[in-house]
Amino acid sequence: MIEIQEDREKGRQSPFSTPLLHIDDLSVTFDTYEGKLRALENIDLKLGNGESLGIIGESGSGKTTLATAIMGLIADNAVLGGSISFDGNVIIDSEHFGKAYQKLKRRERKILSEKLISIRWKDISMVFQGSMNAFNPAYTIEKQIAEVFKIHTNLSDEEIEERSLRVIEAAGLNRSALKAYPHELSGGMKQRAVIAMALALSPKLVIADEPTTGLDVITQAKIISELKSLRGKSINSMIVISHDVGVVSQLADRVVVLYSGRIMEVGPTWDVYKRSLNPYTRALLSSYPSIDSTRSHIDGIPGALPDPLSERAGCYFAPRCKYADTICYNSIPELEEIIPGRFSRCHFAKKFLDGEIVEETKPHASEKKINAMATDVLKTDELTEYFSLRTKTYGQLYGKEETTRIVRAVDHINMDIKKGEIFGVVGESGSGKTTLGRVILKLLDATSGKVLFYATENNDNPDSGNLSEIDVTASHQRSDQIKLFRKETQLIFQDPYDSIDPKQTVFSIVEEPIIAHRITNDPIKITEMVNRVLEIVRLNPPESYSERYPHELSGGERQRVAAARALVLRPEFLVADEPISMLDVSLRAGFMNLLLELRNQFGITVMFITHDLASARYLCDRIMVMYLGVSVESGDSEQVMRNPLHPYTKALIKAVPKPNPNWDPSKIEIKGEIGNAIDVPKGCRFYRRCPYAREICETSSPPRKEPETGHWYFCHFTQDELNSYRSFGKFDNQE
Amino acid sequence: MTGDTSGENNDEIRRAVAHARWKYIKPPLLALFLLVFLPLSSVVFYGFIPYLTYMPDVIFIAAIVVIFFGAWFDFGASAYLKDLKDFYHRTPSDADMVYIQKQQLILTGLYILIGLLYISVSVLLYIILIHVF
Repeated sequence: MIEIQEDREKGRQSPFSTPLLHIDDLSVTFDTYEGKLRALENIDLKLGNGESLGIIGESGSGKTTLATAIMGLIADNAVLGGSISFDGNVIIDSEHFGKAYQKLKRRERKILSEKLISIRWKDISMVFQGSMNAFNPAYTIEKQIAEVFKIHTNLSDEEIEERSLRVIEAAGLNRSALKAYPHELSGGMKQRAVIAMALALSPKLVIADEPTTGLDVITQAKIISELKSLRGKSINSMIVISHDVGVVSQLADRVVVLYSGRIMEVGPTWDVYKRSLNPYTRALLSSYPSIDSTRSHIDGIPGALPDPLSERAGCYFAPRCKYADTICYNSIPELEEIIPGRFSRCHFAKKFLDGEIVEETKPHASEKKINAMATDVLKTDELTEYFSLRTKTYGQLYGKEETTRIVRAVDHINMDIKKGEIFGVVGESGSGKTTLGRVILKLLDATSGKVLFYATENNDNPDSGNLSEIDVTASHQRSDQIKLFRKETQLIFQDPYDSIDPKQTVFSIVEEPIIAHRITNDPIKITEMVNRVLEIVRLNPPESYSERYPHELSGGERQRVAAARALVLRPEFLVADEPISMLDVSLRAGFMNLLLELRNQFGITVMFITHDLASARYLCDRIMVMYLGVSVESGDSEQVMRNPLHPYTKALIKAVPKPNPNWDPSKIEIKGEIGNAIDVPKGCRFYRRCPYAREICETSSPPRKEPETGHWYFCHFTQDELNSYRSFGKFDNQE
Repeated sequence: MTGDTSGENNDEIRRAVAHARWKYIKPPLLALFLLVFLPLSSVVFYGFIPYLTYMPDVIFIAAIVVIFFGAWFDFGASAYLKDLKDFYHRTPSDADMVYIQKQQLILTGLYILIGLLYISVSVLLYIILIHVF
């Protein structure tokens, strides 16, 4: 691994000879009403010419503050220490920025502003976090890119037009994108346009703050591929900020690990990933379920980041560190160079290097095998959900020709979920996963098909074997059967910030299902039930959480409250709709482990909807892959991940960025974007994007093939045929 | 057999629009019918004069309500745009917006006409009151 890194370093200047960017002992403290908030402490970094630096860490570790400090975008209530030099000149210092800015004379401010304008975008540009919203919706892309040239250059209108065209094409977009408004572009195209704008003036340094967050896995892989190909051409040096270690591993030569405003570790990317010398880096890297390796238990990082407002002593990570000793709580470790080029802030860094501290591998928590003969909890039979605006009066009034067409959100889905199983539904955004979950829970009425739910008649003895079948689709909303179904099924939503009422306390949120289903009116019993479920979801002690409001909880705790609300009635079946996608890296593992424990302890059946294949592999017993409303492959999760059969599944798995030098995003065998479920092809839904597609795929629906027991896929071709097409190299990866 | 179907589609769209408009204007027309004919039962007990005294005012006030309702109601346009975004993943173009606003204007015009119909009925009742009784 290290040799590869050294190869990549060849031809690039060492950051220590003539650094392009030198951050010298930078500290940023914000003066707030609550006190002094220390965002960054004594950051020392050098970025060489032509080098790419990755910054990783949890939310709140100071990554974005560091990037905005480099751009001179620091808030007026900040107190700065140290300085930032760019190309040998000090651009940011404590005398001109933050609070000191307010004391500057008008003339000094003007000079400073002119100096920054001459640096920003020309020398240092930035791809901002959430760049989906970076464009002004009222102007075309061309106008917004041209603005960069108008402000920073003296080019004529014709030259600006030509340069805009050149940068947009360099970013992998068609020239027609220039005339488009932001809303007319897809997420991936918008991201490319933002990158094009950042590269417009060929800056020496590009700061990419979470460049792929919020994008689908395939679009993400394409953006990574684009950025990789631009390195050495349009991009000279780069700082990549991300919470996704896979993304950073692909784009950075060196990586900096930040924790609570302090640098914990610095070193060549692959070396840090392979043998990290800091417990925080180890904990962070092991918080990610890997799509490559076998399923081993992941711990996550216990606890939360220390309060940046409070006084702290010793190593900031000590309260969460499993190797912490007395020394860690009393003395601040220095950032030391353990081996050439490798820095770590840990008292035990040398022990990590010498292999004296070894991580123990724990068995996977979900090794509970699901019996193939186990009873079904839920079954769908040709379940279909079509939407048409024409069925509504306003649709008839305003709809033109295209709205007469039907959206095939879910199309003839057959599946059965066994008792005690975690069943994963994976696919890109727009593949119909959430709609399927909602139709199953009767939050939407199915257009056709059946949902059958098998409820245990005797809840006190679930193993008694007496099941009552509820035909969910045929039953009336107010029928007793649906009342029972509502009690036995629950949903955990994607966003814990929106799905729980901010005006209610934790207690009132969790007690709501008890009241709604009239389980009991006795306040003592209700309190007992609420406290018990809060303990189950590890909100201990429950009394200290009961009276809190959602804003007093972290994201992970909020999601646990949502889980507690869903579990208080001890349902048989739970639909978890992307429950971890909004959570921070360190909290994801904790929530996934909680779901596994709940399944093991109470036998709850879970339908886990996600676009993250690694978490699906970690958590699920079986997986169904959806594409444009249809299921394309299903099987045991390990079978699907190790031996994907459908071309779409193969592409999805290949698109997940891996901390592996051999991963090449340009080799993803898929074209274009998912599109909509209106103009679906007559034959195979994946036809337009499939590199193996033949004439038959366009006209006839693919048959189901089951080469392994319980592992099937819908395709016209056998695996041998697909492999032979591959060997002939009949791919066209261009969009 | 694969001839041009745009004409058929246009007819279909036209029919659908007419049907939707009828659905939107049906409630105020029904309300007018009820306003005029339901209180007629009171005639049995109180005679025609009290009916003709009060009803022109009531119907006139209802006319103002109908006109203002037609002016302020969006006739499902925001719900349509939301559905368009959610189900069809499409943002309306300028031409779509013009079409939507045109339909809204037509319906507002229809509501104003219905309001005028209310006023006509109230004036008619008033004329009956002063000329017949």
